[in-house]
Amino acid sequence: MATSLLPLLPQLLLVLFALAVLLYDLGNEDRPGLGSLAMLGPLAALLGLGIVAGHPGEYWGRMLKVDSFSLFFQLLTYAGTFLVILLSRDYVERQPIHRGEFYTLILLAGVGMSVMASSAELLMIYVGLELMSLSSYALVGMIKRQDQSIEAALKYYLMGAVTSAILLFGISLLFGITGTTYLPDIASALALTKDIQGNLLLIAAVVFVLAGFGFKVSLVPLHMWTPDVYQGAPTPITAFLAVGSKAAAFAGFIRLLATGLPAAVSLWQPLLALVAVVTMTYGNMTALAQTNMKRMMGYSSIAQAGYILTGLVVFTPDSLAATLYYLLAYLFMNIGVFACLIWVANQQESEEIAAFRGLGQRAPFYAVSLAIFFLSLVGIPPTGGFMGKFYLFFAAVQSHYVWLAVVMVINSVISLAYYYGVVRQMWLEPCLPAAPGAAAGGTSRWSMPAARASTSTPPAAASSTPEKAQSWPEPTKPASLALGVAVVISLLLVLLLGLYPQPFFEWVGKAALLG
Amino acid sequence: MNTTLLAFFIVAFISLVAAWRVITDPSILHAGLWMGLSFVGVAGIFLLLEAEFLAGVQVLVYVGAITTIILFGIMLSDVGEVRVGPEPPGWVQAGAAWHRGLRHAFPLLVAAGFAGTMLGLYTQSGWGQLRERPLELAGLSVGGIGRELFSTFALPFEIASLVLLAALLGAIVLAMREEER
Repeated sequence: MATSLLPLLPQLLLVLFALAVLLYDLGNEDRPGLGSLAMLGPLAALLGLGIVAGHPGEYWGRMLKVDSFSLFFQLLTYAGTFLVILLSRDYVERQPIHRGEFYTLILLAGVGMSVMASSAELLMIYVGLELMSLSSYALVGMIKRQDQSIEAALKYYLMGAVTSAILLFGISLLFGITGTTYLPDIASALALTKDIQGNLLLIAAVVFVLAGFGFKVSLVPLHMWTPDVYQGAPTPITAFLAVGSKAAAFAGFIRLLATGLPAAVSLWQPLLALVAVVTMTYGNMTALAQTNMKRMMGYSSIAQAGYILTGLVVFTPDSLAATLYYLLAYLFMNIGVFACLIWVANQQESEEIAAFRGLGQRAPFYAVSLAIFFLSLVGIPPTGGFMGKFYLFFAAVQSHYVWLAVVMVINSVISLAYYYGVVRQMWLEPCLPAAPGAAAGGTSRWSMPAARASTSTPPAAASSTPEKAQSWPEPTKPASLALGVAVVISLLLVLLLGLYPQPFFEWVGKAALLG
Repeated sequence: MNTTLLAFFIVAFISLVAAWRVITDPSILHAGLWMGLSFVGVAGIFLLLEAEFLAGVQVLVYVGAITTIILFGIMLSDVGEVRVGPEPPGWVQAGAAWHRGLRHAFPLLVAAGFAGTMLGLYTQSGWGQLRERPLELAGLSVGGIGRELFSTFALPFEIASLVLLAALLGAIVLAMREEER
């Protein structure tokens, strides 16, 4: 059974649906039900995951590992992919995006993420990372009419390629030192090494590998891409980067540090502690000055990466469990925020924070939901974000990282300011009339880029827009139903994680043992 | 000095000079050709290390496929010359020769810095069992690599094909003309 296909079932199902979407989209007609077909992919993978859960072990020459850790992150990945496709359904109707390729790449990126999470072999983790990255680079640039989107894709691609090379250098050094790329073997080889502190080779290897993963989760010296890419990318893809990409990179990160490099803890612990503090503080301080919602969420995501990293710095079973819990809550609160953002952007044709003016009167459901997601991001009860942060805080204090916990609390208070800025717009500022034509649902797929062209694209692009309008069909429905469903799902889970955390605590506690 | 070492120095010199010309050559077509030469040099180094398979792959993939595609790309788009940055300000133009020299020296400095760091690392004493059994890995035959690829490493090998699919899809969808839909 060592090379059985069964343990690969979820990934295989996801690939199958990716190819099905691609083939179904062939030809020029607009295929009905393409989004639904794509959404079935992660659902099927979740079912497959249920079957695989009964067969823990290592398969395919130790390349594939099925344990509670991999099951946890696979669940996170498939849930994230599902929700992102749910967010995209409305979005791709209004933007000039090739839907078939868009959904296929999302599914392929999902496969990459799940591969990263379910192996203890550096080679597999790297291949998974590349699959995720290459799909994301293309996804970021999918709105070709917008210079911002293309610029973001190019930036992300160039910086990503360089950090990938650095990561490979690090992996090759680790292989040189230990003679293996299998993480448990690396750990046992390093356990025999004397003088870890003075081994320059090992220091370089650790720094290179940390840089590779640090880029993906946007830790501070490697965060430069985050705001531009978050702002320029199609909004569902911004959400995907924030929750999927980040969770998968943290999965690889945790597996690497906890399974592969526990012997070198004295090397990376002080380094990561410094990075965590700088990342949190920088992200929160810079977010204060933003006027664009997606850009603000970009800086917020940098700050959140800092919080999540504290769990790795403290490095106890409890703190790793807290990290996983926070990532779980983070998935739903971020998807929620981006769902509300897409809904508002559809109404107002703007992604500025000012577009949220008077949302409390216009759409109380979305306004209240957004406020709850923000409470969760700040870490205020009764939300999942509070439980996650409290758990992280508690784990830090328990192992004498009180100063780190204090920095985290101070930063949470700072973050309150910019989230409150949006909440104030929603309730305390007078209502803004909806942009003409938008609320009626008669928006053509081209009208949004046309409206934005005045600010972001040169006049040539704007003037060429009307002729192209014929080549894209009118949207079949105003469809905010998918967004509403995404908000409700996220809301329920954020509150569930906040009010009834016990079963989830037990679950992440088991997963964090990496057994 | 034995012949292997001499051969290494010749091949390494060729690939380094070629790599430097890739950066500094004002014609992008020539830069592409220099890159091909640099790849050939690297293939030579692989041969010297008795990694025949890698040398073959290097020539087939990098020289054969990648360089050709890059040259195609250059010829199909209307790019003849590379503009190296914006026009320098007046006070720099006064020392234009110095500026040109700097432009040529900068890649050298960066490369030397990186090479120095890596060489410093490679001479460190942290290397594990690899030092004791270099031949077992370096002399792995083509057949041996094939067997490994389709047994132990079958899974990452197959996932690499998905990586290619994603890259292909992404490239096509980004490069496609909108009118075609």
